[in-house]
Amino acid sequence: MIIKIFLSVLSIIFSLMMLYITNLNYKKNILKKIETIIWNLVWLLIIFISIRPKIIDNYFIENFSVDIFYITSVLSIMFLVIVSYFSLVKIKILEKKIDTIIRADSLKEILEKIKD
Amino acid sequence: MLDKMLIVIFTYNEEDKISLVLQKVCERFKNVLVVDNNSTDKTIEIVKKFSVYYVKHKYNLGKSNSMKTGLNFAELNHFKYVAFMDGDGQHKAIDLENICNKIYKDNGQLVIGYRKNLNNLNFKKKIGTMILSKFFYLLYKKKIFDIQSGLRVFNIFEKKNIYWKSTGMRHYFADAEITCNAVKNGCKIEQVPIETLSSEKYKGMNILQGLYLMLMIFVWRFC
Repeated sequence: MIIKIFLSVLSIIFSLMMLYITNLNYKKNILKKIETIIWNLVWLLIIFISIRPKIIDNYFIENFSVDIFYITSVLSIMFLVIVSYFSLVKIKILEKKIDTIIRADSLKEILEKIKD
Repeated sequence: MLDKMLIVIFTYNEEDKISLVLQKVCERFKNVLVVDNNSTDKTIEIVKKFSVYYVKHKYNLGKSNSMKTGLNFAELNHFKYVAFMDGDGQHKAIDLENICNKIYKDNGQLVIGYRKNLNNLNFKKKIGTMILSKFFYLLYKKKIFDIQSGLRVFNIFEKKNIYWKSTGMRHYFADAEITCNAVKNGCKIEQVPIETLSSEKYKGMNILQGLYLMLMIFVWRFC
């Protein structure tokens, strides 16, 4: 029981912190309005689940006969893999762009000198 | 030969060595390009004193991208051969001249300078080079004595057969990737013995990087 409470509290603190960071990113114009709303809803949902885990647990057991723990693990792993994949691809694209720009920029000056 | 050949020298904080390197190279070659990886010391000021082309990356992009810059420059200025040399003074200008003469006389595709005497290397480097060479032979069935040698010259028309993609964390693997691609695509590779002066600055790869390189040699063979 103590572990459950501890995990819930931890989850709530983390979600509150993420709510703050999300809104901070919106103020910095990193996130758009719609993205901010969606992320806020996600963190609020996590807070709700942390406070009343039984509701969701009962719902899944009654309707689908599966444990919420099982669903969460599968979805979490899937989500992590997807996010990691897209982050990696995005980083590679950015890295390539930066390399090309810096190399082109370094050559520009010397080529102009040669032309002159 | 001199008109068709571009010597590309890579530097990063080489203010102690670059002057001597350029002095020796400029005695023998007229087209020299120095690619500086955003040195924070006086390397570029020293380079400016010589009659060479020079470019400076605004950020340190690693050796692989410096090699690409050199290749781009050679393509834009219609050179036929590009020679790569490290700016830390570990290679001799006479060896550079030898490999350039070799490719020119034989109308070759790729000439690699290999360290003929591994005894002056420390134990780790010596064993590492030997293991990599054996591993390479196992996969590619070609005896290359020093797959990672930084002293090499190639015909620019072979670009499609040797082009390298190693960047970021793997930027030091570019030399090995060129060798792998060249062997895989059937390029004519010649090897010329060279002398390597021991460099205190270059510590080589650690064991993890060595294992990573072996993995990449395997990947390049089959992908």
